[in-house]
Amino acid sequence: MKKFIYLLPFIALTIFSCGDDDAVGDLELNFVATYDGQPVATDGTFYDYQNDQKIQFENIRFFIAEIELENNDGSSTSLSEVELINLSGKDAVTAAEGESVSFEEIKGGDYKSITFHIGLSERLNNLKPADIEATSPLQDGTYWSGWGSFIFSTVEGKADLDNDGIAEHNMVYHIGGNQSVRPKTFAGEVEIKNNKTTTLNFEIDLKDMFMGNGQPFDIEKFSAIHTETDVMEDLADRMTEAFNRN
Amino acid sequence: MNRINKISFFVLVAIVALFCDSCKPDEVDPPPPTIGDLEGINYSPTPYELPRLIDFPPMLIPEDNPMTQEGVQLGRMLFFDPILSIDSSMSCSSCHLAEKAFADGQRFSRGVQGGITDRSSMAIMNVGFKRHGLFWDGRSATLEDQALLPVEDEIELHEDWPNVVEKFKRHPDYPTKFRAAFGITDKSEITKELAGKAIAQFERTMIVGAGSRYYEIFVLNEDLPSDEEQNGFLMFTDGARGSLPDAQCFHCHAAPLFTDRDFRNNGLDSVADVADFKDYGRGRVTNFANDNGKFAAPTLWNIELTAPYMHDGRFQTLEEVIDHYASGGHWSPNRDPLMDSISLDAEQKAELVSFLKTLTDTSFINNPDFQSPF
Ligand code: HEC
Ligand code: HEC
Repeated sequence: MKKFIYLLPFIALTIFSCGDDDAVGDLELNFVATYDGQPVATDGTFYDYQNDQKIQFENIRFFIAEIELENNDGSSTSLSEVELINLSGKDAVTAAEGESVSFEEIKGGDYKSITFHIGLSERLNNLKPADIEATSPLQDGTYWSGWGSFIFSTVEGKADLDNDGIAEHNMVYHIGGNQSVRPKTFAGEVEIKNNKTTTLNFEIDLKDMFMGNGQPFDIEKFSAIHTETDVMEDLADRMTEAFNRN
Repeated sequence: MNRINKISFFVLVAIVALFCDSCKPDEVDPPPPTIGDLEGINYSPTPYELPRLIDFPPMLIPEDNPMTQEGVQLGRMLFFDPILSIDSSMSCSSCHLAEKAFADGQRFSRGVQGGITDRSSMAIMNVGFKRHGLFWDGRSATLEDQALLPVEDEIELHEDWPNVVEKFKRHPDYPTKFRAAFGITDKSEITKELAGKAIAQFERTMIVGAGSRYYEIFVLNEDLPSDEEQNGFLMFTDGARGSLPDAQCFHCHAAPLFTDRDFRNNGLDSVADVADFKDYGRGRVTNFANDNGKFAAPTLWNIELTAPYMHDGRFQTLEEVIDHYASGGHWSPNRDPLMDSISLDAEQKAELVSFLKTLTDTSFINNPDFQSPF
């Protein structure tokens, strides 16, 4: 009994602990661009397109918006309004690591799924840089005043179409405009544990994007897309298809 | 209570008390007693309101360096004062001249002892809006950090900061000015970091655009463009949708800052391998080989005044710059995918130049607040 008394202070410590009693944990979302499952290095590495043609990537960047966890009761827990994911500047090693965004102190428990917009919701896209606070990730994006839209996603690179080892054909794909946003729900339980970080891994497979459904995107015909809305919407659909949670 | 129980009780009370205390928000220590030689001087900084131009994003101001009239005034003095150089012969303004929109008109700049910089001086305009680092290669993260480098750069001012700080302390005005800007109580508290903060505050005020024809025509709609200016605008922004060539400029030089604040290779040099670039540029900072030969896309405000052009000042005129872009530049493995030959006839090239000249804002270079206070 006398020994026990020495433990009292420590028991008191645990009981009087400052934080509230609810369990909270952190959530990290990790994004990796792949090509046929292999991480995409933006360092001149060639990837197979079709008919012995090759493509390489220089800039891969996109916004995701209205990021929410869906609770089992149908309500949702908001994580972030908008994040910019930049997968450029990667060699083979850093490409595999990808880029992450983290959210802290999320209520612990099981969630049904995670959902976000690939691109910007209309609400965000109708804002202009002048009206947005300086710390917003939107300020690191590009605003296209001609469209009245941010660029949601950028995939830039080059292609070697005549198989001579030189990438002479430019690929400049910019997706934007309210018609191009694609909300996507990624099913599967998300468990947030007390004082732990849960990581969800997302992969954007650019082979699916450019070769998807046995219907290759015609990079020869469409070298640069920044105004043709139907082609842009096709690309937005392809990118959404290529976006998966592992 | 027996002895042991008493001790335990006090230990418990002490620990609980300590713990509860740690739950309170951190208390700020009372300011140290003011005993310094400057404490008699009034310290009441006046906030500095930056002008907001239509369509411009808000500027990100570091929380530990709020803008004040007194800070800006001190920064301006430091910017123009040769006290920062080893032999009191040069200041920041020696390579950043008001009449050249704060570039210097030279291909490379001559430093304090005759050495030559390895890149061309940059125009200091709208630098407060930069988000991915200063310099052609983005190697300085903040204006506060950047301002410290020229002083100890062997080619530029070739002085030591401890020496400069001593000169400030002996100076008849600087101790008072540092007090007014940052509330120091004694001149021994003057540091290079405070000098960097003041210079950064001054540079954040150097906002350009409102006095340009571009702003009058395309933002305020208070004047009409000439046919040449209008065609140049349409080609620059790909606004003609096919009836005029798309010159692709505004991907990398996007309004309203006329830069996308990114690093790109705009085809200045032809190399077979990215290891062969003479100046690695961004690659020197990131150590990522594919960044070799990439440089910051500069703002095009006042571009008429900042010749020669590019990081090595290789082009003397805007006509040469347009010829370069029309050709698509030189191929290299990482030439930007946005670089492609553009078929522009002589008239269209001239129209692009007329459009670029609408970005000239002489009210900026003549602004009395940006001239030497000495
Ligand atoms: C000897 C000439 C010289 C002097 C003196 C000099 N600079 Fe510069 N400045 C340059 C050159 C050259 C560059 C570009 C260097 C590079 O990118 O590597 C530059 C770049 C800059 C930039 C970057 C602008 C941008 O858009 O990224 C800033 C800001 C600047 N200088 C401020 C200063 C300040 C403040 C001082 C005084 C403390 C100063 N300079 C003194 C030559 C000079
Ligand atoms: C791929 C992106 C890109 C495109 C497209 C582009 N630029 Fe540039 N521009 C740059 C970069 C990067 C630099 C700096 C390059 C260097 O010095 O190494 C630059 C430099 C310049 C300069 C010199 C600026 C200075 O302060 O020295 C001018 C003028 C210019 N560009 C005008 C244009 C015009 C006009 C167009 C369209 C015909 C255009 N640019 C298209 C990226 C681009």
